[in-house]
Amino acid sequence: MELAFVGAPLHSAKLSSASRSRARAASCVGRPHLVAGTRTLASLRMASESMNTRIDEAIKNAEDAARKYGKGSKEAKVAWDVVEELEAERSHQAAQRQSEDPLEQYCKEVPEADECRVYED
Amino acid sequence: MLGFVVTGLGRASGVRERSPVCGLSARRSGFAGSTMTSSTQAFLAVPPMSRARILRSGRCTSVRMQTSTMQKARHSDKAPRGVHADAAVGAIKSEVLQRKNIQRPVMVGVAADSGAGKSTFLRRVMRMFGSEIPKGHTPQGELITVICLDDWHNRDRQGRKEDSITALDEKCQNFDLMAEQLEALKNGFDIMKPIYNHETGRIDPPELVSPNHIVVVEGLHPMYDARVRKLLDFSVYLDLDDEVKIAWKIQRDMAERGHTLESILASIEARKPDFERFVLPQRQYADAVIQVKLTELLPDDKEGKILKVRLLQREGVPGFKTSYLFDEGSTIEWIPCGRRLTCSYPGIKFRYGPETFYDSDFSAIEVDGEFAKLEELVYIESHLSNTGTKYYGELTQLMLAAQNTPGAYNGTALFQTIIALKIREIYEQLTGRKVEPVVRS
Repeated sequence: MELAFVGAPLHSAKLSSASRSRARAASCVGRPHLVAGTRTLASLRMASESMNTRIDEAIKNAEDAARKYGKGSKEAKVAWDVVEELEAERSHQAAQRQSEDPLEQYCKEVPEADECRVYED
Repeated sequence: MLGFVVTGLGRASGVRERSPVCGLSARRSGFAGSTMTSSTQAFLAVPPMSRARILRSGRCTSVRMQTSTMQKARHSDKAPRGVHADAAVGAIKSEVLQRKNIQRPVMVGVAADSGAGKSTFLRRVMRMFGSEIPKGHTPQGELITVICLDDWHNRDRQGRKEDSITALDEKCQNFDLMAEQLEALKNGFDIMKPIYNHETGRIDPPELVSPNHIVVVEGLHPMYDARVRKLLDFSVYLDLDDEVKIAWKIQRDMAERGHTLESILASIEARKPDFERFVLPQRQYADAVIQVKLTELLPDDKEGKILKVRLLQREGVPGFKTSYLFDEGSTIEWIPCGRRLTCSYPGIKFRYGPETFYDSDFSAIEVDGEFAKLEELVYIESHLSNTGTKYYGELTQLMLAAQNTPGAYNGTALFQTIIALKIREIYEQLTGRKVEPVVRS
């Protein structure tokens, strides 16, 4: 069941990039200038997938270090710091992608527009 | 040996090119001064006006013309493994001082751990000084430049692993180079600043950063070193209570795969010792502190959906007129909900009053709760004074313009916007210049 929320502000944390891209593709039929800046669904997915995998590995690394050397050990602290750095970068890149997207910028200004309807998966 | 020579044309003869990210040739032009890559030659063949246009319109903002002599920074050898060997400082004042008519760079420091709302805050500040947010690793806009202090890490990720230190550790920053280069920038010189790449975890070749009207330095240690602290005209510290840190990290990182609640708690616990040793002590130097806590309006709300946010403002800072509610210097508790303002449960509560913080005089404004409709903020705005707005309603307009950002409906957005307005006001006070409001009434 798909629900459309008209006029609701876009909460990007709740949308997967897949559903947002689908919504974008569907809504940009008559607005080529809004499609111009978007990256392909595949490339977006790939970039975030590789980041996610690296973060998963880093978390496993950190948990192993904590188990091996102790929670308060230097090794555990350094390992968790790496995780934090990658996660901060992931969220920073996601925010960059968001702000570069002309559709997102348009929807920030006019959230009630038809193109900005939000579909929950 | 570093030694750019100014040719007879009056323009530098070499261009520092960044790593292949932008698709340009990765070959470094070296510092001998006389070698030029073919792209540089093509670049210089174009008459000066078009050259300037190419610079600004290019997607690749990392190619910069150096128009002054640069010399090796005094502290460029301080970093282990020679990672900052290419850092440089201009020998003569930058030409942008004249071109942009810069009176004197105003330097602002923003201290916060990652995940504390720094990026959202910085975007608000950048917006205050231009309708477009400049892009690039170091955003350099018409009026404002934002520098990430992580660029002065003296070890890359691998190096930190080998030496068993976190990025929070003071030993991991090249404070000597940071102080030298920031002072040079403040005094009107270009710098070749190192770059720390957060994705690869490596230290990239340096980039040219020129002075600007406002230079914001943000990161984990803006107020740690006394020499850097002395350069700051204004400083901000973003402070989160532990429970809020956990709640925000859950929101940011648990939505993605990989984290369980235990691992989130473990990562925060592991970070605590270094955070308390190296970051927290900087709070005492801040001119403005934004503190985010869990609400008092709801018993046992641990989710952090409703927040209590406090703005602490240091009294007596040049150019900084502290904002207040109703009556400056008095103590006020205010619940605006009633006949003129409809609030959804659990409502909104304001507090204002003088406060002693680390033995200094501060004034504190506090708001607990969420705004149901941002338009109602006009009502609240009418009771706040000294917010730094240039017209009645500007605060509300700025909040409305950013209503899709995190925290848009609570005190974090309100106080971040007020501090951004204050930075604009301080700039105008210190330089005598005027900044046009970006959002019109």
